[in-house]
Amino acid sequence: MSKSAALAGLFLKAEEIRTHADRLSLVPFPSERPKDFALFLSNVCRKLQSLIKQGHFDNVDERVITITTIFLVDEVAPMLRYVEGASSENTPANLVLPMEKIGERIIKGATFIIRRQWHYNYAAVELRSTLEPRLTSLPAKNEWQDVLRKLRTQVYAISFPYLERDNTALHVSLAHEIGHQVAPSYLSKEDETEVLDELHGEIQKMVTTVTTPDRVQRAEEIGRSLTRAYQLRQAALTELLSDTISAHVFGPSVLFALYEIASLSESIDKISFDMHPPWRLRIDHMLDTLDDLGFVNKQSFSLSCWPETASPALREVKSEIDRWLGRLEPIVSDWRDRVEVNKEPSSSSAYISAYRKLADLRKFAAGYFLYPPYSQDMFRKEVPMLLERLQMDLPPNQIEQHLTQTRDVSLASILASVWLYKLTSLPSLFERDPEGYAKRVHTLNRLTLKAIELSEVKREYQEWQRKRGAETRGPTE
Amino acid sequence: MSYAATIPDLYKYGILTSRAIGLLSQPRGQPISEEEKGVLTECKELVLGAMRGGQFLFSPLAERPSKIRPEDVETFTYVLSSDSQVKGKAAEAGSLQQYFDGIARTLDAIITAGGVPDRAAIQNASDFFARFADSLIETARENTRRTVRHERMSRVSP
Repeated sequence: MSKSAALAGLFLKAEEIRTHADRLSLVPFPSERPKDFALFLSNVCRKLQSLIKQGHFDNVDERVITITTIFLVDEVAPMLRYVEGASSENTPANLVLPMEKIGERIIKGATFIIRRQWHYNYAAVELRSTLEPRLTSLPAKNEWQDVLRKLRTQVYAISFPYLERDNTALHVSLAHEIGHQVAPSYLSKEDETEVLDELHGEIQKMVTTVTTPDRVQRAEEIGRSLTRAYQLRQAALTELLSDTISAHVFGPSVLFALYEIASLSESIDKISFDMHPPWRLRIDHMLDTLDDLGFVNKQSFSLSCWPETASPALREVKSEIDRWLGRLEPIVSDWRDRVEVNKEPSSSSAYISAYRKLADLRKFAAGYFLYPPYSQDMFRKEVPMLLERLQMDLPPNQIEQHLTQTRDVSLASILASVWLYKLTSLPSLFERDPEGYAKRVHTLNRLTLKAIELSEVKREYQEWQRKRGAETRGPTE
Repeated sequence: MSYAATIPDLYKYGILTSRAIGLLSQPRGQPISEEEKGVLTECKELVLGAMRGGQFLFSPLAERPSKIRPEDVETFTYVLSSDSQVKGKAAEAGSLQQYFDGIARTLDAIITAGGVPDRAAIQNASDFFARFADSLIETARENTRRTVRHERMSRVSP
């Protein structure tokens, strides 16, 4: 292909992406974030076209045009899926704003796009830091910096499995993805050279002059294993820290969600999704975290945040949940995951290093929050009463204190009450009436979304009233 | 089990090394812009990173660089896996460090305008970046054909 034809191809690809981005920006979204990002992508393409017209690509090596074209089709165009999947139709729209607010409280100044994906997993990616080093490597660096300045903040695309769109309780896992963004503040405090030396020492014990006599081949093997080990270690610490952060935000619900997703996994002992720590380790670490926070007693596998003076029905709920927690005992008392990761040098060295950090991760997470996002006290005071509302087919959005007085509750308590209902009331229903069970699950999902909506509307109204009151009183009062 | 070598940022280095080839082919003696200096500086850092990675993997403990980043090891391993000339030089003790050092010095001379590097040195640097960029472009082409199983990071095999 001639250079001119390659440049025409690049110009056309930018045109296509811009057209799609402009069209997507008109779709209804539950928040402004996806639209803003669509317009940003449109601006990126407009800038690229303008630079081509101004001759910035005329004197470059042809490879620059080739790699830029591949960058557009492989990285920039697929970013439109974050916008497309974030439309009101594709998301549990009532949950999007409260989740965005949680994210923005945890990561100051960041913005979040919550979107569906067909892949059955939750995932997170920061889009600005993905694009910035690439765009500013292109010709006219200063102009790219101007384009990026308009994006202002980090933009996190958080994905959820579309199949579970209406299964709102499972979306407590979104807090784990938000927690991912806390990991760099922990990992950046580590001395990279020390970590590499530690991993290198372990790998050298396994890749030796006996196993790999050729010097160059050995260096290559160790280099690959070391890179993989470093990535595995960082991924393990990131996942475990994110689990801890999510437990601070949503309490025991994240354990229930973790277990539900883990139960679909091929193995609880292997490294999953290429990089994630074994589920067995994650469940064990989650129990330690919830024990630290006073939600669960790991020694007795019981819920430790349930009121003493509850009704017989609520005492039965506690017994059911304790029985559910008891199922985890054989999982965490077994160490087969450690045998599995020891099978090859990269994972073995990565996990020898990661195991030493588990308590430190929990300590770091506890110190990260200026205020506790969710406490066992809130759970104890709110969840039993919300559960009773659910049992009466009422949305679990508030607690009645008197006939005319209600008290707001946290999103974490709303979702916890739904989990307790799911784990205690639904299994026996399925045994009696499978269709009735499915119908009941749909009702439960609707009640949950309604509770979140009512709770959010009320919070916004109260916020508006506060602001209005402050404006009416004026600055001197 | 052996893993494919990866590179910290495929597109950033694909663009930068490709731009460096163009800049190295320009007639010497002409002033270069601040932006062009920036491109060559980033490429020099890439070469120095690979050099440190090589020192870390080949040298005995006492001779290792005091500061090493994971990206240095990753970059070196990528270059070693994808560039047969680098692999050939790695077999001779000291030859590889001399090779990387020569490229870094050539770039430095152009960036600081501290002397005109000879044509062979420039050709040597240009050939290295051409092989590097071609390898990255090939990997990028494979990316576009790959079915995405799940959200992936920009770490790819040569």
